[in-house]
Amino acid sequence: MKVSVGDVVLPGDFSEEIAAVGEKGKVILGPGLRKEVDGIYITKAGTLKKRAPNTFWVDNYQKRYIPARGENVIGIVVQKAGDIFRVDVGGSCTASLSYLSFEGATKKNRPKVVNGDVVYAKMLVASKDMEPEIVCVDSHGKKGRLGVLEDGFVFKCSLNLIRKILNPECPLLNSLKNEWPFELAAGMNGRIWIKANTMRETIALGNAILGSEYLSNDEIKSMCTNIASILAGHIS
Amino acid sequence: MRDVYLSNCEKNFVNKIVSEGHRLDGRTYNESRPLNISFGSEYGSCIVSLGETKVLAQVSCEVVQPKQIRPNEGLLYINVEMNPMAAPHIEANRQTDLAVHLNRMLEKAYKDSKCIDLESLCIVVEEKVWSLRVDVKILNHDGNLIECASIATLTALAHFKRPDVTRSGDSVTIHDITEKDPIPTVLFHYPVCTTIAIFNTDILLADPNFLEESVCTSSIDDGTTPCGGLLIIGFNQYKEICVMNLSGAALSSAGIVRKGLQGASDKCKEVVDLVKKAIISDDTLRRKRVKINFSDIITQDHLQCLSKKDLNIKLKHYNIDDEVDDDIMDADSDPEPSKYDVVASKPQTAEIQTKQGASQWIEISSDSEED
Repeated sequence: MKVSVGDVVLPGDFSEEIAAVGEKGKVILGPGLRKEVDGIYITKAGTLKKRAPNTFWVDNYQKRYIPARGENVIGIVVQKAGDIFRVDVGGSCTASLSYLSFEGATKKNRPKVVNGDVVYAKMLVASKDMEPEIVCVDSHGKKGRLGVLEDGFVFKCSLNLIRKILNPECPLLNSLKNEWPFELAAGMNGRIWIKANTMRETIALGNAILGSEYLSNDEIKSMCTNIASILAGHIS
Repeated sequence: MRDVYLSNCEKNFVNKIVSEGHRLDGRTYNESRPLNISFGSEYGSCIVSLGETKVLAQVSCEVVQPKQIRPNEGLLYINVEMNPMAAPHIEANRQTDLAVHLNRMLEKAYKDSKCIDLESLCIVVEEKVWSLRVDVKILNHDGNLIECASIATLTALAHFKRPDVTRSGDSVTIHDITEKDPIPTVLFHYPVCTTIAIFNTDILLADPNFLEESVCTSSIDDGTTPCGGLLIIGFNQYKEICVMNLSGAALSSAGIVRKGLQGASDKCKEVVDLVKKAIISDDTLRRKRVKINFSDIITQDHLQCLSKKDLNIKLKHYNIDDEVDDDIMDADSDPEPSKYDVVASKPQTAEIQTKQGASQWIEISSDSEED
């Protein structure tokens, strides 16, 4: 069926609108769209979205991560294989992380990473047909915020929730930061690492994040205050 | 089946929080997740959900030849199926150990405990008997599959009605449901299985979720903490044991099993009462010719409603209804100076820097800020 931007689309639908724009200039096709010889086809169910000038993608509720270059992800080290670590990032296969891609690592000075460690890393190579590769340093060799995450707790959530809380307009983190101190790292692969001073605060943080998935901005603010009052109320 | 990867911090956190007397989702040790039973349009089909774990069971029947050694008994088959819809680590079209284990547990609970009157399924001795087949499909896997699957199997079997049969001389007539009222299955007793997770050899958790299950069965590398295990117990409504299975490396004292049995027997009785009640109320609705099918649960449990319950991580007293307080709105109007700074360090990240510096991994070095 022919669809246009804003419609609910199904796999197999095609968009002449995008193809027409593509004839004039450059178009970026995001997830859920594919170029065939005779036009642009939809490969996912969802809503067709557009961002000016020429970026198109299909938006839907999703939990399965598809690696994309440049995204920050949270992975679990599952295997040490020679000079690389295999890291589960929730994609269809594990990602590889070289032991040299840590800050200050040399062949003699290996980073201390064991199986089961949680790493916050950047997607360096995310090709359709190859194993993804992640790194824990930026292009200057500095680790910045990346690296092994210690203690705390990791939980999974939908990819949509991650995008929601990382959106600068989302009030969640801004409301929570006034209530109690905590650390948080959100991976675009649907994993969030949190750490607070006590177990109760960590759980409250996880509760606030998961609870905010379907709430509006005002509701998020009141939920955060509510959770803080539960925390402060010492009701076991 | 692919491996389920479990990070050390999840393991440590769950172990620590359980030993402190709490659970991730705010339940107490003996508390189960909410149980929900809904029926399909036909007899013997139901979806049972236990928290986020969901199982579909469907009973069907056909006329077959009986086994040589039991010429006057009907047959019962139980078939468990899992596919990647249940959990991403389950592979398609491959029989997993988990599915085989589940199948065997259900067979123990419903076939070996002789809860179904198989002789009533006989039509002609040595020639024709009814064969009941229970298809159990795992829709979502969030721990405690066996309890959810066993409730689904029991509900489907108790709800099922087979067509009536009349014999006149040599000919056997199977009547359509519209012609003659179908006959319910005869159940002597109602067995239900339940799972108890054992942590640190002496803490018992009822109805563990997926994370708790995988944490308590996983081995801990440094070997300092003793390992736990899963105890599966099946009871009927008379509090008689039908199934018992212990996996993992937990059994250090017999007291654990006794402690588990006491809690499980009461729980199973409650569940059986609930199943019976659900079947009776469904039956009265059907008699009033109210149309019942699975579309009811779709409208009840649509996406927006899901947000209001079953969070995996929850405080004990968290309740979404409390939230709407008007005095909160006043506080928002004047933005308070914050104690902590939210810094967008890189695109797609936002992190709170605490002034207390709780961990070492964030080092706010001056040169990284300049970048």
